[in-house]
Amino acid sequence: MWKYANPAEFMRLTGRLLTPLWVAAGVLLAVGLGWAMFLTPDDYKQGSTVKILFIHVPAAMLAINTYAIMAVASAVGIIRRHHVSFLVAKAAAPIGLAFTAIALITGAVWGQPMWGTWWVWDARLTAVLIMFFFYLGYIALWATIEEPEKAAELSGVLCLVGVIFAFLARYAVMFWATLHQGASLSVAAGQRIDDAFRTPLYIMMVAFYLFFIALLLVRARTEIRLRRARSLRLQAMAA
Amino acid sequence: MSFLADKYAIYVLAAYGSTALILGWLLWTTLAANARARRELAEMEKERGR
Repeated sequence: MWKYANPAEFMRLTGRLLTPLWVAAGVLLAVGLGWAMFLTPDDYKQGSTVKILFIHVPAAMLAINTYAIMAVASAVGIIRRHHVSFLVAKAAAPIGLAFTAIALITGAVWGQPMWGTWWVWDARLTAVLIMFFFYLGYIALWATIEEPEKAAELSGVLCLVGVIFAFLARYAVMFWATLHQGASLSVAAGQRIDDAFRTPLYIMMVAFYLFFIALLLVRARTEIRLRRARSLRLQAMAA
Repeated sequence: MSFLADKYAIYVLAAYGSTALILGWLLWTTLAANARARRELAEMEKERGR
């Protein structure tokens, strides 16, 4: 696996993967959106607001999982002094930030008609909001420190500190009685969603994940190119 | 689109609209930054080859 962490090998492999990924994400997104919009019935309690969940659920899952990916990449970067790991974490941060924003906004827009409020200081919602600020802090730290090695290490440490909020965002509903409902998609709890909603939801989840992977690979390739350009510039200046 | 006649239509449209805006911005900035980095690296490699 480590051979793919070599920048040249990474660029070669991901260059071949990107087009199929974009195509698959685009097709699944179109199918999922069409299905969610035109073929799903209204929920007997939620009415048409149930359609919001086809974007809210995948976005929330990605918001948390992207943070987990960043944390693992940062830990590998810190332990193994491996710069591609840091670059992957850096590349993932704006994507995670965007999906967290989507989860917060669509959750608020769903909450207003269903809960009667845009926001409550519920454990899960609050943990996601704090995670959003950790994403912002992480991106800001990378942007403010000029020396890449130092920026990588400090932002990696910040990322690891914030892991607790990603964990709480995922599991808060198990620890506390929160307004936010528990997991609707759970192998242990069995089927809790009717097939009419579950199938398009799964399609949207796969589409969002493929879109995420494609974006992450493009952003990681960008970071590798920028690092290479910086190294060439420094070599030229030293010569 | 039957939901457009529904009392919750504005909420559904707001959710999908904001998602489209955020994902559109993310895609645009990602591709633009990649194109910039590709140009910058090509220029540096060209200079190095001289």
